[in-house]
Amino acid sequence: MIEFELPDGIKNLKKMLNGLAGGIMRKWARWADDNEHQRVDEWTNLMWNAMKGMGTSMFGASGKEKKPGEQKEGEPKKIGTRNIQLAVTVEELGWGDAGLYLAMPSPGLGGAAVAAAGTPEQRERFLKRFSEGKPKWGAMAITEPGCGSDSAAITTTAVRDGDSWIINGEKIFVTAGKGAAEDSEGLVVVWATVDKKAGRAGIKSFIVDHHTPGMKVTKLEHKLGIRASDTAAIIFEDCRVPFSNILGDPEVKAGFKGVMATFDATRPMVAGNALGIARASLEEVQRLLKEAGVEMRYGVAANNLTAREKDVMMMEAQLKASRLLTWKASWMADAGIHNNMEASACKAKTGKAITWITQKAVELMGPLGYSRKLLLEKWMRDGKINDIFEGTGQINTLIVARRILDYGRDELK
Amino acid sequence: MNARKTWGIKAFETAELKLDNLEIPAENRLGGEAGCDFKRFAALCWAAQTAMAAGVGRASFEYARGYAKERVAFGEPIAHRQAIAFMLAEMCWEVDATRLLSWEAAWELDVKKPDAFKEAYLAKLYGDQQVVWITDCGLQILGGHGYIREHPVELWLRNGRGFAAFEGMAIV
Ligand SMILES: Cc1cc2nc3c(=O)[nH]c(=O)nc-3n(C[C@H](O)[C@H](O)[C@H](O)COP(=O)(O)OP(=O)(O)OC[C@H]3O[C@@H](n4cnc5c(N)ncnc54)[C@H](O)[C@@H]3O)c2cc1C
Repeated sequence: MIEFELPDGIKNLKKMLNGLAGGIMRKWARWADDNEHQRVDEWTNLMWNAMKGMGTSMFGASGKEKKPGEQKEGEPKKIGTRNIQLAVTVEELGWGDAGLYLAMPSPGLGGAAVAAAGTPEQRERFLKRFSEGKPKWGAMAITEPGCGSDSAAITTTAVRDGDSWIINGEKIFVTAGKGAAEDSEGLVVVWATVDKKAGRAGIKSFIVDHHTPGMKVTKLEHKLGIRASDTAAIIFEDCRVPFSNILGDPEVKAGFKGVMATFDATRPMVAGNALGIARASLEEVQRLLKEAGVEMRYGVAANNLTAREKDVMMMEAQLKASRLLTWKASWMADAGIHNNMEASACKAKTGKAITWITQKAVELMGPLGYSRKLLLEKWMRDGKINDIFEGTGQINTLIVARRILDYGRDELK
Repeated sequence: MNARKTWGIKAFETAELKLDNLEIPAENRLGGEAGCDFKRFAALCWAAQTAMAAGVGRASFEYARGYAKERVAFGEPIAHRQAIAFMLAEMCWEVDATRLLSWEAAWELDVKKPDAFKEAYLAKLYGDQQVVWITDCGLQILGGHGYIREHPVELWLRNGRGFAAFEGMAIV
C-alpha cells in the first residue's frame, strides 16, 4: 500500500530541528539580514558541533554509505531514507532561516559532488575534515560571468602539467565561496574544461583545497535576500592542484552526464528548503488571521469562500503539492530509481510556488506584511533565490519537457 | 423531474428534484439510528473527485503531447518550441501533483487521520483549479483544431470545468 507516513526517527528529528530553528535561527534571522556577510558564531559553532556528532552523514557527505547501485545482486532491494530525511531536515532549517541555513558550515554542494563522484580515496581525503576540527565549508563553482544556465559553455581551463593541473579562469556567485576558500580549511569544487574543442565531454570538476595559491576571492555580492550566505567571486590564476584532485574519469569522453547527475540529488533539497520558507510565511499569515479572529472555513462550497480564504487555502494546497512532488523525487532517489525528471519537476514547481506563496503572504497582510516588523517581507526576498539557483525555473522546466517529449537539445533548445 | 442540459459530463444525467412535504419511513435514514458521518462521506467524495480531476487532466496532457510532436508549423513540430513544450511540462507535473494530493487524502481517510477532512478539501480545491488549467492548455496546444469536436480536448475542457461545481455528492 502507498504510505505517506514519515518513519518515527525522522519525525523525532523534525521536531528537534524545529525547536532549533524556532529558537536560535529565528533569533538571529533579522540581524543576519541586516548585517550582510557577517557570521553568527553562535549558530556556526552549534551546527558544526551537531554535524560533527552526526558524522556529517546528515548531509550525505560521509561517503560511507552504499549508493543504490552498489547493492549486491540478489540482495533484497532496500529503500533507504537518506534523501527523504534530508528533505525534511532542510525544510525545517528553511523554516528557521534560509540565509543561516546556507551559511552553516557543511560540505555543501562541493562535498556532495565529492560524495557522489569521488573515488573512495578522495572521499576519505576530502570529506573526513568535515567531521573534525574547526568549522569548515565546501563550495561548488560552476557559474562564470559569461555563462550560468549554459554550464557547458564554461571557459575556465585546466591544463595538465606533470603531476598537476593548472587552473585558470573566473567563477562568480559561489555560495559559501569565501568560507570554503579562505575562512576555513574547506574546499571548492571547480568546473573547468580540459579540452575546449571537445565541448561537454571536456568538462571536468576539480577539487581545489582551501588557500591553494592562485585561488583568490575577489568580491562578495550584495543580494536581495539570503544575506547571511556569502556569494563569492573567485579568480583562479595559474592555480596548481595535484593530478589526483580530478573528480571522476580524467579521460575526455562523455563525462558531462555524470557531473549533471549530482543535480538529481541536490535539486529536491533546494526545493525542500524552499518548502520551509513557504511554510513559515503561510503559518505566519494563519497565526495573524487567527489573532484577528478570522476563521478559515474548510469545507464550504468553493463559490462561497471569501477571496482571503481562497488565497490562504490555495497557499496551503500549493505548498502541499510542492512538498509531495519533492518527497516523491527524494523517495525515488532513496529507492534507487532514476529521478532526473522528478528532481527537476519538483524544483521548478516549488520555485514557482514559493515565489507566489511568499508574495501572497506579504500582500494579504497589507502594510504590516511589507514592513520590517515581521519576517514576511524577508521570506519573500529569501524565497526567490530558489527559482534561480540549481537551475532556473526555465531550465528545470526544459529538462522535464525534454524528458516527456523524449527530445534531446537539438530538438528542444 | 426535468433532466437538465449541461455543458459537459453529459453521460451523467443531472436533474432538478423538488421535495414537497415528502414523507419517508424513518428506517430509510442513511446510517440508521446513528446517522452517517457526513463530513467523512464528503471527504471521501472529494478525494475521489481529485483523482478524477487528475485523470481528466492526464487524458488531455497525453493527447496534446502526442499531437504536439506530430503537428508541424514553420517547418518543425510545434513541440520543438518552448512555448508549447513548457506548457506540456507543467501540465505533466500538475497532473502528478493532483494525483499525489488525492492519494494522500485517500490514505489519510483510510487510516483515519484527524486532518483528513481538511486535506481532502484542499486536494479538491487544488484539483478543481488544475484540471481547468490543464485541459485549457490541452485545447490551446491543438489550436483551432482543439476547438473542433473532432478532437476530444474540447470535451475534456468542458468536463474539467465542471469539477468546481460538484459539491461532493455527484460521484456516488
Ligand atoms: C545567491 C546565488 C547563489 C548561487 N550559488 C551558486 C553556486 O554555489 N555555484 C554556482 O556555480 N553557481 C551559483 N549561482 C549561480 C546560479 O546557478 C545561476 O545564476 C543560474 O544558473 C542562472 O545563470 P545566469 O545567472 O547566468 O542566468 P542566464 O543563464 O544568463 O539566464 C538568464 C535568463 O534566461 C533564461 N534561460 C537561459 N537559458 C535558457 C533556455 N535554454 N531556455 C529558456 N530560458 C533560458 C534563464 O532561465 C534566466 O531566466 C548562484 C546564484 C545566486 C544568485
